[in-house]
Amino acid sequence: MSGDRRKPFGPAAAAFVAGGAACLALGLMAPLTAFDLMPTVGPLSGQTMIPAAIFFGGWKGLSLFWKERDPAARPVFIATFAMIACGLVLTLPPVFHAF
Amino acid sequence: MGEMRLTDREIWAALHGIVFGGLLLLGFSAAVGGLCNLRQEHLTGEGVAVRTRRLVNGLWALAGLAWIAVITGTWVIYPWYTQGASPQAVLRRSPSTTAWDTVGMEWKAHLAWMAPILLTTAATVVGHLRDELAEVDSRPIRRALIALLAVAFAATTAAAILGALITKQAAVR
Repeated sequence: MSGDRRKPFGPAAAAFVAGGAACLALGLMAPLTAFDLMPTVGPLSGQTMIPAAIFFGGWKGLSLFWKERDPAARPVFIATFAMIACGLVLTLPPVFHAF
Repeated sequence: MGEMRLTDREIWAALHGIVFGGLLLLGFSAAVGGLCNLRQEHLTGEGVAVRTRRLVNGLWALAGLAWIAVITGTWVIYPWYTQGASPQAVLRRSPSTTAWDTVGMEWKAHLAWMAPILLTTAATVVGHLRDELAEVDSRPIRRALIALLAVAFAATTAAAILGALITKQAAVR
């Protein structure tokens, strides 16, 4: 797929993986109440700000790592959508209240 | 004749749910249509360039709207929902309405954040690949982007429906 592609797929792959990781982090953070970053908002502040930071930090870090590289698209897509699916399931209250 | 008056909180809730959320939901169809039609074999070179530019601008606008919607929802409206004689207290008072808070609001508050993350991802990918995205061998990437938009749309829709139903039970005033 990337035979004569002019631009490397790396920066796009970085965005995909960072987006998937942030969705997974949203699910993993949902049961945690220890990250009360803003008292008026409560634990929801940490449960949302930390995944957002993971998204932007991960995107930046992976973009630097993959800047000139051309990773295979298929594993990137599989990893991304697997993390999104896990994140979706883990944000369901009956699931995260079980932890 | 009665007065039509909105409190500051009701204005913020309307901005969050109807203006930002409503515009966001409208924009998804345009973004998916733009991606589906971005095919080199059906367009001239100039057509690809124009459509790609529109798609990049549109996706960044949608991502911006989604960030504004979740930030106003979490930082402005959610504290009014939880504190004092709040909608949350009203919902928790009766066993028949508790689940609107413990399931409905809990899910909405987390799920909604997937939309800006996934829209920013899509905007970044389209902004990086630009015209190359219209090439025949980029079809898997276009399909992956459409799937991202579908998840973001589903998250936005679920959050919007839950928000409307929770407001019907106990509104922020």
